[in-house]
Amino acid sequence: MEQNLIVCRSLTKQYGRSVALDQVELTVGRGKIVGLLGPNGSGKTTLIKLLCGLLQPTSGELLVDGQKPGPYTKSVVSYLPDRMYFADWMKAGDMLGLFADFYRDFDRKKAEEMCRSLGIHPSMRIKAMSKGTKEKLQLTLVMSRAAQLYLLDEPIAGVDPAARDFILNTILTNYSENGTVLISTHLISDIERVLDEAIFLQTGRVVRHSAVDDIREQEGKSVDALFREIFRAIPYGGENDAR
Amino acid sequence: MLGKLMKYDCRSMFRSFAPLWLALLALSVVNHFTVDLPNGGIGAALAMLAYVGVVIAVIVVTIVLVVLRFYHGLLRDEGYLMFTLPVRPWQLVMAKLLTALVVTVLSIAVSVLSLFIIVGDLHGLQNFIKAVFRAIPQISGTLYLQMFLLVVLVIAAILASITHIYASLAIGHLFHTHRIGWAVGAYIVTDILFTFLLTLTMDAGDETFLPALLPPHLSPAASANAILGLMIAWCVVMTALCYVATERILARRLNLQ
Repeated sequence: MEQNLIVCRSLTKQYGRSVALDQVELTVGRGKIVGLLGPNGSGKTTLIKLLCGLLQPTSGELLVDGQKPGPYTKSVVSYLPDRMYFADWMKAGDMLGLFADFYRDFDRKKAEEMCRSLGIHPSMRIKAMSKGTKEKLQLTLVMSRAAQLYLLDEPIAGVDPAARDFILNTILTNYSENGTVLISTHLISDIERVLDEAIFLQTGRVVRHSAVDDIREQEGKSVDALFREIFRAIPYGGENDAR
Repeated sequence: MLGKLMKYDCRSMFRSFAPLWLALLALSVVNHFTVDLPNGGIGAALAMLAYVGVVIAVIVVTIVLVVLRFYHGLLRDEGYLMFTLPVRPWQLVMAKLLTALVVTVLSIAVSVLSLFIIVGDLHGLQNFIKAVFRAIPQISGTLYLQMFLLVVLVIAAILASITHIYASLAIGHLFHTHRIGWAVGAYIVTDILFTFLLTLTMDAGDETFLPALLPPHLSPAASANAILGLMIAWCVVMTALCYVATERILARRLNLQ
């Protein structure tokens, strides 16, 4: 087992002329909850898609558990995208069957219990579920895998505060022991309490990568405050301190 | 892994096709009785109309679903699930292709069966089958081969058509906007290209080019088989080109939005 779970060396991703990720150098270890923080358009989703194997790098190197993204890395990475990816015709039970079929680390019993506690019956049609229920089902499937790396892309965006707590608690209580959870978000204050490390991404570059405790000790501020400082933008008409 | 992928693709397709196939068979049974009625009149006409309607529906739905299952299944939101499964892109494309082939062949088989149901009766069908089996040992080698080659050609042509659609959708995926528009354009352009190349190899002006390469002393039946063989080879080449293009684009240039 490689010591570092994620290794990026001069990782660059370009879409035509626009550069989404620019010479990113990054290493992430095991057994941590890491926040991938940055404003919209900073490259968070691009980095996550590269880690999943949904995108190919333009240049540079990317290794997950010592291997380039491919069938092996996909078998040890559990990905929660920022959208619903179900086939319309499936029932909840069909999705459980699909995950059990393709992922050896999928704990079907655990997923079934979680579904039961959420009131999701295996025979329920996904098409007929509310948006919130679909999201919970998706989260259940992802967290019922004993993966080495969990990639959660904006898991709490557009979700009410009670559901946010539910999602964060689900993540905390269900990820595998030596696994790393990488959460991309810009809703820092909600997620700060669970983070071990924070990676700050700005226009495709890593501007800061520290342990959250170090940030609090050395800078004397919360991660949320540091985020606002790093990504401060002066509005038209001058500043008017909203805080 | 390929088998597992096909399991889910087949289940998705059969859900849509089973009702249509059943409707087709049911209507053919109805027509079997109404088509002969002396005073059938309106009833018979309606039954036939309904039958033809369902036949057309089966053809249209087959084409539409082959396209949609690939497009929605791999190039839209469901692609986030499919391309993060621990499988290779070629397996995803192959599963879709084989499922589409199975469904197309079954649609053809059900349509042919429905015609038999309308036209035939049980006695007549039994006699027909007996006659076929009696005739088989008497069929000459070349005729056997010809029948076999025809079946292979039909399958090869279906595969070529399906992979042509897939490649066009994949080419459309290379663009950032108006992907469907680009896919349609790609389909038309490649269709013109393939037809042009086919005409060139099969029949160049006054001379038939490729057939002219055949040994001159072949019997007409054998030359016909050779031409069939050439057409099959052409379909195989087209299928291979389109399949590889699709797989390479999805493996190296995937960009789900």
